[in-house]
Amino acid sequence: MNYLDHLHEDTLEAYVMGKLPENDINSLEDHLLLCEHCQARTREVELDWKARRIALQRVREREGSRLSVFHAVWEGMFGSPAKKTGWAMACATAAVAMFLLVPSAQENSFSYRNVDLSSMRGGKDLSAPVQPDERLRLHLDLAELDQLSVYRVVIVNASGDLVWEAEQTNPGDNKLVVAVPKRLVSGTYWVRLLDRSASRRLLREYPLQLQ
Amino acid sequence: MLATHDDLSNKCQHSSNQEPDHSEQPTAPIELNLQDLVDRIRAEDPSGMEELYRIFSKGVRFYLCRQLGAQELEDKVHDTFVIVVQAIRRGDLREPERLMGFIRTIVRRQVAAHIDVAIQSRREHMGLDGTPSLVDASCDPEENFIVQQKAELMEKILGGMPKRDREILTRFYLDEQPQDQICREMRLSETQFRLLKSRAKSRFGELGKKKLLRKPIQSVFMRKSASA
Repeated sequence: MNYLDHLHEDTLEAYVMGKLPENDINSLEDHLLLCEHCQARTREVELDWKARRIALQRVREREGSRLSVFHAVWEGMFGSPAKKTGWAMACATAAVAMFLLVPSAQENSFSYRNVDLSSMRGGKDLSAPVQPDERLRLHLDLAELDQLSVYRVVIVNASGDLVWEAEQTNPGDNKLVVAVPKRLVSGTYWVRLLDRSASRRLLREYPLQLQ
Repeated sequence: MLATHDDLSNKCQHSSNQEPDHSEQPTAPIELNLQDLVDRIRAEDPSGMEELYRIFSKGVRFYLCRQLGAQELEDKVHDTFVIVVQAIRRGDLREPERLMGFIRTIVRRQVAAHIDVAIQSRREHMGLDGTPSLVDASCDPEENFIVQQKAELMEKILGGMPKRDREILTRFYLDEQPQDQICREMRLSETQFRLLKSRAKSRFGELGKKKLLRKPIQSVFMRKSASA
């Protein structure tokens, strides 16, 4: 450290805290003998340091008293074996409820993959790569189809077993967008568009291959 | 002729009236021609003593005030310069380039001597109940006021700070734990530690500049009654 060089704030801080090595103190004080700018900075650093200690002590005392209150409440709630048993039974009940509810909650925490479906014959690769945490948002082509206000959308697997179904309102732009919340494993599916009549007339069928 | 209090005061009056440099860019201390300065002091050249006082008085005053407080400060500063000049003329300073270290050593000895006197004085003037009355000699009422204001502001800022940042500051400033211990126990690298500490401190600085107003109050200057 050269006495001509102004002092870094970390150095000044170590000095006012009494943590500067002896060798560095000598050259620091040589500089302070001459430099009014660093004298003023030392004063500021020292005031800040004192204020910081006071503030931290007050915060610690406040947190300490909050912790004392917490301990008192804790003892009040769990201080006896009977209370502990009661709380254990309540926790077990809550765990069972969560076990039943969590799967449906998890259904809402996934992303959608957009898949365009049309009923063109031949040639086009209709397979869609889907990740395990993804769901499908199907874009069904309605061109040259009877325009109904509401369609019934049904998904069946390769064996013809029903996988999922729902009703969807026609937005009127020749494209029906259907969000399928159910997770579909890889395989071949058929997405069927039906009317809402009792006969459930098949209007269009789209092949879907999931990898 | 030995320099006296009056000599130094009279010769340096105009120097002490000089205003400090308020320019934004701090000027670096200039390299001193210490050989020339010491030669002039040894030759009892008034300009030598004048220049010595002009260059070093603020630094000596700063050091003594920080260690001993503002009480009787000017007397202590003058005593220090008298000792320095006498020592130079006596030939105690063999190497002029060591003048700063020489002055620093004399100032430290002055501080130690004053502390010894203060301790002795307190022992002799203990209260009737046998307990010593402890007074912080470095206690400046104006600075205390400023510290309390800053502490109130910092306390509010600490309340809104992430707990981890607060823990770092508490360990470093309040518990005075070394940096390596904090890094080890909180699993921080040195860079992370410096960054988090700097970030936490900068919050104080930003809000402090906006909200904190320095209100100079009239200094209360207390003197001990002279002992018989």
